[in-house]
Amino acid sequence: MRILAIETSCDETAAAVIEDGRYIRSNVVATQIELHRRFGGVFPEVASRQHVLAIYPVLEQALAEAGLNGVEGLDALAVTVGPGLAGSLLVGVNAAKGLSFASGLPLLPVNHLEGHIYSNWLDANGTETAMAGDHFPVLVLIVSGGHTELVLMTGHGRYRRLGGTLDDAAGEAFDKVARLLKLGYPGGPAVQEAALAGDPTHFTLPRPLLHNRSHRFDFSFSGLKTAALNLVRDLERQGEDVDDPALVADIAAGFQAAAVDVLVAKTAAAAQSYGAQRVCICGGVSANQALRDAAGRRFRDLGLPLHIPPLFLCTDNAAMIGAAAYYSGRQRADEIDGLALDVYANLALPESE
Amino acid sequence: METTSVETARHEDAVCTIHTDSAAETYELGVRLGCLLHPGDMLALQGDLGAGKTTLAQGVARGLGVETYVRSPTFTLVNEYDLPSGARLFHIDGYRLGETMAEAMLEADTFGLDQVLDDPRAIVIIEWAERLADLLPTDRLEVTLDYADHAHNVRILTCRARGPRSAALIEHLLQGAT
Repeated sequence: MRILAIETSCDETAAAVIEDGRYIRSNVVATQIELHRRFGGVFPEVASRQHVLAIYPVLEQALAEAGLNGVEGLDALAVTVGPGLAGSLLVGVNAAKGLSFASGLPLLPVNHLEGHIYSNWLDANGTETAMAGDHFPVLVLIVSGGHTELVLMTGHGRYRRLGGTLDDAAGEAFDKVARLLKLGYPGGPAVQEAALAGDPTHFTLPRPLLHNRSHRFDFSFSGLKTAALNLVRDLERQGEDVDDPALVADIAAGFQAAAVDVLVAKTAAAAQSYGAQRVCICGGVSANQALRDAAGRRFRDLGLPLHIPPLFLCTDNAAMIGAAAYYSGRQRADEIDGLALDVYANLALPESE
Repeated sequence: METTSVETARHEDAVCTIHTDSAAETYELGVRLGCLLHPGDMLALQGDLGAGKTTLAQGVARGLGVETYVRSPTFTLVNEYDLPSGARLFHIDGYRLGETMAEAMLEADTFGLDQVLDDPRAIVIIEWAERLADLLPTDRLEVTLDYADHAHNVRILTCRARGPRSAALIEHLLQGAT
């Protein structure tokens, strides 16, 4: 089964052709940088307008790279309907509806969070990270700029939310601490880079909710962000040069260590509590090397198989949307009127029990 | 919590300053403020990272009867909550909007700020409101959150009314405090 998938929930315009939910025939992601190059000149700072301009070139490229002649040879279309920015989501949904109407192909709505989960089912050139077979329950940590969620997956398309952030998402904290330390955007890679040269034990930042019994599987990154801020203010008051790269590196490393500690500890506790057979970590922050390393060590010690997608599937992409559509959306295909799809900015993961 | 000064030189320019000693106190102040809000009211929050804007907003939402966790709207730009009163709370964040007003105005279109402002049921909280100042109705309650120099957890909240409606809000808030 060959699915053309479209993803425009945030800042990336993406399209991909996925076969049997697993094999990536093409995977095109247009970032703003590429758009600047392709269209030349200054590009308007409007996410949905970027998507409008990029969507058709991206779709054509995805079909061409998959070796397809237009929509011939496709079995279905899939598109992200939420969560995300309503204006951005609409561009992808409307393009998908147009294609569906013209081609007669069924159109499957996909939840962006389900997409991140299924990024772990994609075969990225035979890497061992891909999930093979069905070994449920799977404990999933979705960790990105907009989300930090612990989910127990009891089957394809069957989810139970165990907890999540009570305030800021982990990626948001990385972005804001990067801004605080004047490290630039995007904050995740910037903090990671700065932390490389730092000593994570120089400054010990709090691990919010780590031992909180009533919030065992919840997170709070707002307090960690404020702790980093207070640290910088204290150092300033003591006359330290807070722009000194060595000091910035130590603060970045201390912050990253605290964030990673909490993420790994709670994921491991949830996996053990619910007897998970496997653990998946996905979403933009799963590209963080310190998180990948720490989780790798922890789950090796616990004897639990851990899956984290390769870097190019951690950030937003349409390949994961095609995989999610295949595994969890196709059962529902008959009940769905693709042309009546709407977008849902605050869509939650569907819960089945 | 300590209210240090109240100026009401011109009625519609009412200003008051409130000190809170902890995030919990900022939240409690939010709860009190939330209890006073009705459709058409707008809180415009300003203040640097970590100043407590989201904490205050969480309290306001609680005061309005929201029982779920109110998360940061930084990523989604706007979060919506149905209220027991039948009103609707819109929690908006200008943090990710363009640094210049022109950019911010274009981007405000993409999440439908106009529709929010036209909604007769809307109660609105906007964080990083200064980014959207030109787009907001004049009569709004501006709350600026500052750090105190001497202690980590102390915040100075300056509430400034921009019209008769928001001036009345300040008056009610102060009545509740005494």
